[in-house]
Amino acid sequence: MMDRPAYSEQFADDRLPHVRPIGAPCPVTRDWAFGTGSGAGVKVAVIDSGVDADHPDVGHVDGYVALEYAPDEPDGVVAVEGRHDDLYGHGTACAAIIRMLAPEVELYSVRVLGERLTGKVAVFAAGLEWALANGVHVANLSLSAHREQDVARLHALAERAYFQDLMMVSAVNNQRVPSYPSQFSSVFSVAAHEGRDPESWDYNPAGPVEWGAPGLDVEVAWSAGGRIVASGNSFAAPHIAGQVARVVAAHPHLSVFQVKTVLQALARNACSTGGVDA
Amino acid sequence: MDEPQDARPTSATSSGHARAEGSPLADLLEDLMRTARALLGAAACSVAMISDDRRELAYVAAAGEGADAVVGMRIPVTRGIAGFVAASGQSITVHDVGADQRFERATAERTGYVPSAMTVVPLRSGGDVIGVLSILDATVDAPEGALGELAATVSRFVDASSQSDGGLTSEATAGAPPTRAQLSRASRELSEQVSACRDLGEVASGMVAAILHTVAEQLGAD
Repeated sequence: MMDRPAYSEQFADDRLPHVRPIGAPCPVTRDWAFGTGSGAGVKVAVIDSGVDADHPDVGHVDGYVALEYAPDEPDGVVAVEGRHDDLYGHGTACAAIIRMLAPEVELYSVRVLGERLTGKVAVFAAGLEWALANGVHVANLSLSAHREQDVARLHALAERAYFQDLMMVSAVNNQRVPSYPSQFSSVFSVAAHEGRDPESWDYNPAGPVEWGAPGLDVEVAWSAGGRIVASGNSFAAPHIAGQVARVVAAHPHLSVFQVKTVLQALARNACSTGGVDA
Repeated sequence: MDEPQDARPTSATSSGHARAEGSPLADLLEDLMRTARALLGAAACSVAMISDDRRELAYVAAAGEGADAVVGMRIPVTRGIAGFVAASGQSITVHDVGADQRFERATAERTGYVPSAMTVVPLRSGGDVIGVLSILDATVDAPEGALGELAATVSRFVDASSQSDGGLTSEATAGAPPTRAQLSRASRELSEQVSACRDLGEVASGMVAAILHTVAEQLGAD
């Protein structure tokens, strides 16, 4: 593909080191980590362009909220409950990947892209606030902000999420520009790696992007019930979000860093001996 | 949901499109698109800018297949892959656009060229997305960062234009076009980055050199 997504090069086989898990007496196994693997009982918010519940790859959506820029409102944003459409197809693509990996999660469409290209970060932040306020366990963020003046606000939200055990899974921008909240260490930052196996991911101990997952030449759900083949870090994030949801479903008491530890132990580049300390 | 809106041209000129005839910046962007198209082996390249009310994307320059038809077109930002990139600021590469049954296909059919693959990259100014750069059916793999550099170059020249009394819109420009001094300054700034681009590889360096040559031609002996 042209111009590979930013940070995907960190996950190339000749650059990614082997990592050594914590070496607990009872090593983490997939069976332990995922249980049934269904994701049942986990609320996953797709903070994006909307989710098309009629798409066969999505199945159903358990709740909707559209955040819209409203300059006359005190916070500059209004929340519109009730079913909405996916304006572009992108949110549907992400939701379908999560559904594929964790079929029984409760999916929530938090639409933060609208008809006016204004107030985007305020709307994006409102989407994160909604997730925090509504008991969401996993938030997929295949979008990012890039202005320095927005860092403090988004960082504060990421911190709250971290200590509230809300797993924020955030795709880094495809272009090498500042990308928030993806660059915060408190989130699951994700870029595309070359692999195609949805059950396989990499852990990068060097950062700034920790997780590599399929995002190159992937067939994804899109608008009007269709599918396209596309590339982008956007599509890697829901692969990790789906795995996170599976872990949280099996072990709802785990914190963010504990879930990261579990995923790191099961990463493709994890090894029992040698390697670098993660 | 509303039915997809057809793309509509703005006020007509003799060519049937509201191209900013005689605008040096529009001409420069078209030359940049022509250069990018040649270097990427693409069927077409185009630049679309977000309208003042931020509800539409207006195509202001293009080269290649369907170029004459697409320049002047306006599409809602709530539709299509280009609309998504404008709204989100996230670039995307789609290898198979065939499944997108909505507005973008109708627009493409109007241009007479329906692509199989496209890469769309946001154009930024001061951190805000101001438009998109679209590349259709490229046959050359651009080295890492090359498309970002191309998008930054386009953005830089649009910025230079917006600093003058006039700006680049899809309608005939009002006010003064960018001055030679502004374009010359932007060209010098880009030239200073050529050495930084050397490690992008031969294709990217060639792209940047070609862009500079194009700019030099626009400015004349300078």
